[in-house]
Amino acid sequence: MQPQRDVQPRRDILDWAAQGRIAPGLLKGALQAGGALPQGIEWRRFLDRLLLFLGVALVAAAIVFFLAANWSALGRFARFALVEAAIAVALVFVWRLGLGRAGGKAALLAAALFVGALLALLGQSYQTGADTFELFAGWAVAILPWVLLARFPALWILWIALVNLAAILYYQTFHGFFGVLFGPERMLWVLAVINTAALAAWEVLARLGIAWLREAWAMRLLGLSSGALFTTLAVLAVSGWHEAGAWNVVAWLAWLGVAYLAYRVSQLEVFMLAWGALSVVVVVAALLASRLLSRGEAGAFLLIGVVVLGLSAAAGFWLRALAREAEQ
Amino acid sequence: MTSATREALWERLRSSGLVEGEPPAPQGERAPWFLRVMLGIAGWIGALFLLGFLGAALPWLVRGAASAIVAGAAACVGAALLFGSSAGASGKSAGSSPRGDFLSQFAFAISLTGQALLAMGLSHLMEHRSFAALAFLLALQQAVLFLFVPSFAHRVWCAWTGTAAAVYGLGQLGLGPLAPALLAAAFATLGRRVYEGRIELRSAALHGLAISLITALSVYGGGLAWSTLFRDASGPLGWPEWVGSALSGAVLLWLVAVLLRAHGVRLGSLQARAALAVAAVLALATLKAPGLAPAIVILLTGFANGNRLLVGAGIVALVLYLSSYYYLLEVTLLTKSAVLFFTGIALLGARMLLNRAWPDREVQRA
Repeated sequence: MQPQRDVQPRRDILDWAAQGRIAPGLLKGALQAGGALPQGIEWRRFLDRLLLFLGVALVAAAIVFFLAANWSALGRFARFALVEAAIAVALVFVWRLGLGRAGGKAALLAAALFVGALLALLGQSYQTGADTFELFAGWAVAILPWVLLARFPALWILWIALVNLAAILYYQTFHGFFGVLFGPERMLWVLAVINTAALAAWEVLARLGIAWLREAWAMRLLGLSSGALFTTLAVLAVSGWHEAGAWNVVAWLAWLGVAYLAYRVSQLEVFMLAWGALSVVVVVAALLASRLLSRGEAGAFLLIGVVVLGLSAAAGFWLRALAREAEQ
Repeated sequence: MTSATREALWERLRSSGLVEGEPPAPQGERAPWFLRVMLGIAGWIGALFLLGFLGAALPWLVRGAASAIVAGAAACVGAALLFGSSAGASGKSAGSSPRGDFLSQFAFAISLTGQALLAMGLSHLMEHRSFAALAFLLALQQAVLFLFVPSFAHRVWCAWTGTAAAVYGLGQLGLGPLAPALLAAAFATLGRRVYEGRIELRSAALHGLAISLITALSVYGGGLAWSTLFRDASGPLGWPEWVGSALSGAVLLWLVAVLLRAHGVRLGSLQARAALAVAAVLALATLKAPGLAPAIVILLTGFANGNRLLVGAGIVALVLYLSSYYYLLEVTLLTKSAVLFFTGIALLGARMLLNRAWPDREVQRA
């Protein structure tokens, strides 16, 4: 995980203030002296990134909005020329700045977004008959070489999101909206496999020493999606939803086991363990609710409530100890 | 942080005359934010079952206005006492022993159940006469609980739900568009003073306001939710929209000026003028994209306070707002496109000037 230089002094100083070891009037000065508050050069770097990424995001959104507006004064070819020019300009910036610099990475991110706009425009202009999932799948395939070259976590997350969207839309196309809503098991399995595979690959490569992959936010996001999907599968199974199979529970238990090995035994990552603990609380609550609440008896509600609170309190105690261990 | 670096930090503070004596032993009192979120969600699930228990065992309690209010108030008082005793069970801080953890988790769920009962009771009492009055009463209820229930996570919850109720009340009065600006103003003001005393209260309020502001921005951007919650979205822009957007821009300009002064930059200097010019561009864009300035206020306040969680919240606010802005019905897609394009180009131009005027070799290499 990325070292958290600017978080820890702040937490320690706030802890000392809570213990009464720093007078309230001196707290701000202590935070400044401890390097917990940004000074000139940090502000300079923050503003540089803010102006760059917000500026690129706004321009990219502007072009997508413009195409969606379907402005009649602009002909079909002019629209294509506009998006293609945007892609070309972005790529010129990538070429000039290089992928090692933030400006180059931001330009490549914009180019990747413009490719999606180009594919959408293609579908809008020529009525190709392609389904929406094909747009997202095509988009993911088209930008894959850039994603591989860029060494840029945000672009990988965009790519994984596109693959997820393509899978969701595929099931929507062939099973309809209500198919997705009421028979989601197969789709959830596919999404769980996609996100877990992405997380596993990310973790393995990061631990093998690929430094740019050590982005806590990206790994946590993948962990959240993977865990949420397996938890949902397990909840469907224990609730008896549409004959969901026992394999869902087996897969969820396996996910918990592997997560424990990866984030407790091999390396300590309390965030992922907290997410796993919440998953256990949710599945146990769903299991008890499906078994005990069929007759709506008051005692069953009370029992489940107490079990949920007891489990979460025990998990909280364990995780708090691990958080202290992680800080040593 | 290892104990060696912790001691080095203490030594640095001691040499500046900010602390005295030996460094305290690490107690790990401040649980990581995600742990508090996990416990909060679990407490919320537990509260749903406790509420189910009351509904099944004592249905008359839930259905009557007076009984629900009395039982709800009793539950909240009981929860406040339990929070106090959980702190006692754990020594100095709440929730650092198994018994303290269980007590504080149980207290959280009891309080949530009490809040739900109070809300039901007040709703029965008002007999659906005025949703606005009910919303403001709920905001007041959460404000009282914020002050008197001694738990950080509980205070964040109260600040969030209390301000969300007030936003809903404003919406019912046709003043919903003022909500993001008012929340941003409160957030920015509090953010400037969070380390100046009563930090537990101020920090909890700051985090609750951030969640409330993100919620309001998502709702404000999305035309569908906006029309159902606040008003008919197909109509022309009224004064609350203009005043709200202008006020949001003014909050951003004020915050930038305050931050400049705090860092010793004269407002008449070139640096300050450039920063204020960028803020003015964003404030102008906010007139047509009302969530822009409030989201940037979260981001700037978070960074200024060294609070990475709030910086993340600001990024989430921007992403959510831009995603929902597409669906805002009052502004045409062409106008939105023009506003975003020229603002984006202005920001990129400002970055170019920043790099020329204040080069940073490390940044340019990165």
